[in-house]
Amino acid sequence: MISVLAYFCFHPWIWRTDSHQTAGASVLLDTTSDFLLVVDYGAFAATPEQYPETSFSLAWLNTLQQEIGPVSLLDAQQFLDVDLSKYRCLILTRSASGHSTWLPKVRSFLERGGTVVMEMPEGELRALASADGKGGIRQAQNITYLSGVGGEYMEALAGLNLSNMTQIAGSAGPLDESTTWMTIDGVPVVYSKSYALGTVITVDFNYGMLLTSLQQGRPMDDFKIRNVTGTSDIETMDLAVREHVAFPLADILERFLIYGVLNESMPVVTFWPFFDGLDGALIVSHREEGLGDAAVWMPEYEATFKATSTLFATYPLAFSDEGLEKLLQSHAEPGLLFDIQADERSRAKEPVGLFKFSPVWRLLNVEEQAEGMKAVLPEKTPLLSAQSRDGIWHAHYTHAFRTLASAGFRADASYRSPSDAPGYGFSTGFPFMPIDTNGQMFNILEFPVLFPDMTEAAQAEVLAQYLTASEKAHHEVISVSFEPGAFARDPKAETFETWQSVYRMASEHRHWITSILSYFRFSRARFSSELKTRVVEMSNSHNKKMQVIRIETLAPEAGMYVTVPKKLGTWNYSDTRRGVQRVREEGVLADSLQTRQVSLFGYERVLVPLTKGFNAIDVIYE
Amino acid sequence: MKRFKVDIIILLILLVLCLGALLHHFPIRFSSEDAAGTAMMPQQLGQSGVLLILPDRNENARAYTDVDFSFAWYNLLSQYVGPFGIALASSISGPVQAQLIVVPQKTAESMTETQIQAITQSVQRGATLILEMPTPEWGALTAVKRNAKTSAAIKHLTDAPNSPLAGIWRDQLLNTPLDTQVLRIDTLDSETLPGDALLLELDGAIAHYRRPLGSGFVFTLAFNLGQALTSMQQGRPADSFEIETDEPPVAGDLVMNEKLRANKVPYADLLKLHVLMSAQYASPMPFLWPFADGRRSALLLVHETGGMGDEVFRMAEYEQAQDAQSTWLLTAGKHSKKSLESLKNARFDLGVSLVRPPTGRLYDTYGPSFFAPVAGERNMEDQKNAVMRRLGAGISTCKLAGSAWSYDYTLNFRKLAAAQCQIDLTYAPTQPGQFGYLFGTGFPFLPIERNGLPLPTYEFPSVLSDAAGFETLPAKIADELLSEAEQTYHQPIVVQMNADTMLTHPTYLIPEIWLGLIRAAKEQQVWIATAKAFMHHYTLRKQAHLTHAFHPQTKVLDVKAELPKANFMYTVALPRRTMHGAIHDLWLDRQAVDINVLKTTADGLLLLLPVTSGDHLVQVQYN
Repeated sequence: MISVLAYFCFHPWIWRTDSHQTAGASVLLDTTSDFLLVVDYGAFAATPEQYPETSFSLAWLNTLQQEIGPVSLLDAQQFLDVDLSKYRCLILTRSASGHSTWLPKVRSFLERGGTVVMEMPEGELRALASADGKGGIRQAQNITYLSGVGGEYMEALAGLNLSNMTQIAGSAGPLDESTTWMTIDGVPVVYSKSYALGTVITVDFNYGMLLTSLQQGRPMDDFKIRNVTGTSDIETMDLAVREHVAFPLADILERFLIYGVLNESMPVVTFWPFFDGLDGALIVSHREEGLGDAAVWMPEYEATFKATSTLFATYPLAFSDEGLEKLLQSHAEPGLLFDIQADERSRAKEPVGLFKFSPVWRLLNVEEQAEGMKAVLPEKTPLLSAQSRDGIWHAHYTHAFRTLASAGFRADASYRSPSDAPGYGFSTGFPFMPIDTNGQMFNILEFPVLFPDMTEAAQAEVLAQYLTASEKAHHEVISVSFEPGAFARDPKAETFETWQSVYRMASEHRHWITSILSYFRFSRARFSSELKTRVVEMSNSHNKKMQVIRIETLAPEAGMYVTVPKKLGTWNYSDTRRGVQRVREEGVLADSLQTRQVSLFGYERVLVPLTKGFNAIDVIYE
Repeated sequence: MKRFKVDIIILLILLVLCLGALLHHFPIRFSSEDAAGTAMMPQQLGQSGVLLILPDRNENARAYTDVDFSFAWYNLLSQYVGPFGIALASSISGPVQAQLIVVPQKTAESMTETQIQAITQSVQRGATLILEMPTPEWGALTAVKRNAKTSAAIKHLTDAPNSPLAGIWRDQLLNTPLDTQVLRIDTLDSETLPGDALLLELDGAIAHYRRPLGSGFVFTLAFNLGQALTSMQQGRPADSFEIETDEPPVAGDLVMNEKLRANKVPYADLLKLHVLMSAQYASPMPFLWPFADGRRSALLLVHETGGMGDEVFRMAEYEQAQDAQSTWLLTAGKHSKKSLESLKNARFDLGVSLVRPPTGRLYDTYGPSFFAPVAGERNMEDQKNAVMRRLGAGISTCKLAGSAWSYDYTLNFRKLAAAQCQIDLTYAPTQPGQFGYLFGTGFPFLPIERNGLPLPTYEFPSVLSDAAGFETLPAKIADELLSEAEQTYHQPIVVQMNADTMLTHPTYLIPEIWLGLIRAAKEQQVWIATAKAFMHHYTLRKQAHLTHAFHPQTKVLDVKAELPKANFMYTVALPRRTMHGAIHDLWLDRQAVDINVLKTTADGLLLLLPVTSGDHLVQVQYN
């Protein structure tokens, strides 16, 4: 009997329970913005059998929020009731660009000078100012032309195999009097044409699908993830691309669309995505891996220069009360390092038995791990972020996100590039909201980790190149991850020096060193801000004509900036003025503002600082 | 019945198996005590014009203040002069040939009138005498013939009007904490002390003065410098030699007073320099500089391996790549022969971290691997031998893990001596906030037993230890200590960083300080040495022959150096300014040397002349 009991103590039964899952949900946004995005939730396939059948319309929201900030999102059902005069740009995604009944309203919007972007339009909307579409829907192969994009960016984009990533709408020929901005396989897929006082921009390829495939990864058609790495588990890196990882291809496309195409028909004013007008962000996370208090030294170091980070800890927490207090005092964000499919190797388990006799071990599912951790954290400390241990993921494309959604997480950093091919494995460094198979969105920001295991000087050198590029042109979020225990177990000086050099380089390259929580909050502030602009023609004191972009914006946080174009057609940027309130419509505001110029992949912009609260700003072009 | 027997047998077998398992997991343990060594008179090694006269009788003192601290002078001369002679008072029967004679208090008390007369004659012929706490019998030399009152009250140096130390060195000299006995001398008996002869004033009384006698000089110390130095360097126990603490003692409990617990100034060495340089000002003489290759300071990195295995040697890999050897204190039984051999070949100093109560105990188990019912405790010697066996070579460096100390002031030194540890690194900061020269010096010294004799284990005190928690120390303190060791005080500094602290109490400061010190030491050309390498140079230079003659008429100092064979350069340190003038010309082996290209000490007192091993003639012209 004793032997049997002893046997089970050493080889206990494992009791496993599955997590709940919450599918992606529809989103509607009513913000004060120049941009109205329209999707048709009614047209989304609820249970598509194949990946290409998914509706990717909501991917546009990722682009607009990332690049612009505040944007309104409307379901097609409400379109006819909405007052379009509040907006300067209307984006009809693929799901919402076939409603012929909308034609008069869209036409009238164009006649007032608005800009309409249509993704693969159909029917009468297509006839408005798009090519005939008679070539039907085709598989795409390669990007062949991007107006204004050259050199290595174009080379990288041209090398992208699009065959499983998007489709194009072919036409019998190019549209007369249109400007072609982009071609795939030689076919114009982004082109614009004036209509009345406005402009129609046609996006004749499945932009949402391409963006999602690049950022979220491309599963097999049945939504299963291919085991590319050949390990025993599916990992997030199985979804990453391994080519052209030095370039954030998704961001190049997004910025091309916003600053290259859209900005040509209407001056686009955007919220800068980095705190204090810095040139980029370095998001730092640490994997605690059961080390407990001994993992806090890295956040403590960051606190010495007022940087923050996220420390992902396994549950049950190995921290003492004192250790946890030290962690929170260093302003690091505690996150959950979860085991998605807990097994015998998992730390997330608890014994069931009496005293030291535990014949059964209960594996904790993600929800239980999250609940357990929340219970330990102080009341006002949110548990917002999660990361999968070792990047181990669910075999289904979106089940892991469903699990995280059910557990209440708002941010995740499980997506990571392979250690042997660090970089933009997910074509972006910016966080994005993943799309479920039903086309709906998860209310989770996925932060792809570009450098998942920084221990060697050679990796730091690569990171230095990324930071340099980010400072000068890419302006990116670069996420890095460290393991505090790595140096303790194997005290290689190189590991420590590499770690410290990362902060030094980030500072030198004007990057905001921060945690997932801080960046998440800053992003939310951008999305929930208000930004309205209009362009007026005025005369200066010498009676010389000038163009003025009048901006009214509400900045919910300090350290926010907007960007304006450096050129407005043939007009050159001259000055930026700020006033408490706009008293006279005919004159420009009084106080001149200190601005800074930045280049986004060659698109020249001017950074304008905002004060927290309401800002009235005039940007003058002469 | 048969069934019953079978059952009994089975039960017995089970019982034996259970007992065996129990014994394997909880073996019978045998304790082992450490042997204790004895203090002894060190051998005379080198030869020079400096003679230390020691008393003949060595009796155990009843109270700390009664200890014969004469060997503090031995430490002083070892640290700053290099080679010197020693003689027992009884051997002095006529004038001595030395140019500098040191007579400590107990020697002064023990010398007969004839012997005093012999010393007097030596001085009159041109020798310099340093006399500590003289009795009235020395009145002809000191000009104090009355019985001065001895006091042990709290004392402060109040002035150093003619100290050779200037600027910050003098300011800090006056801040030196003192635990000593004082002869209250307010005036000399038969003459007025000239204005430039008072060197140090203690609570307003004369503490150190210079007096010409014939062709020589007498430097009288009216306080027990030996006690002052020992209390600082070796620590101050209660008068009963007990370390008074509620917790088991650690090295930090030996520190003389609060001021020294967080201290950036090597006060003991300033006091030594003041005394020696005062004599050198009157009578120029050469020293052998305590750092090899003309360096002006040394950094000694020390790593205890603690509970970790070979992986800790990653740190050594980095140090080797930086050409920075360190001292590794190994825990017996934790490391592979291959790793140790590779470290040994890379010239790292491999020593032993001795785990003894109350820090812990190490055991040797006896029996096959599956059944080891008996375990014998490893005492210090066993642990050292175990590491030596694995290493296949002797080791000289030891440290008591956790810097644990005994309640008895010198018991651990006796044990270390018995274990034949030539160097000990136990003296180190142990409590949060402790850093710097807790023991008033960065130099190694021989600890003094209560009978006044030294124990044959050099104590090498540390200035930093991660055991004290780097996060509790002022920012940049490591950089500061290193740069001041190089640029101000010329000290060796020992920094202890246990290789397993990053697992137990990690802080970014440990690797940051470690890497920062190596970087800074290389930039500032500090000698990065192991304890063994430092002591190798230190003791070889004591074996040198360094004789000199100063000719006051021509103002020429002739130095003859016979330096033992070595793979490093020695450095002869010469006084730059004396009462006979400043160095004007310098010849090494009859070749003129440009004095402007030579390094000097930060205080400007010494000129450093690097020389190879072998015989050399140095001639210095003062003007």
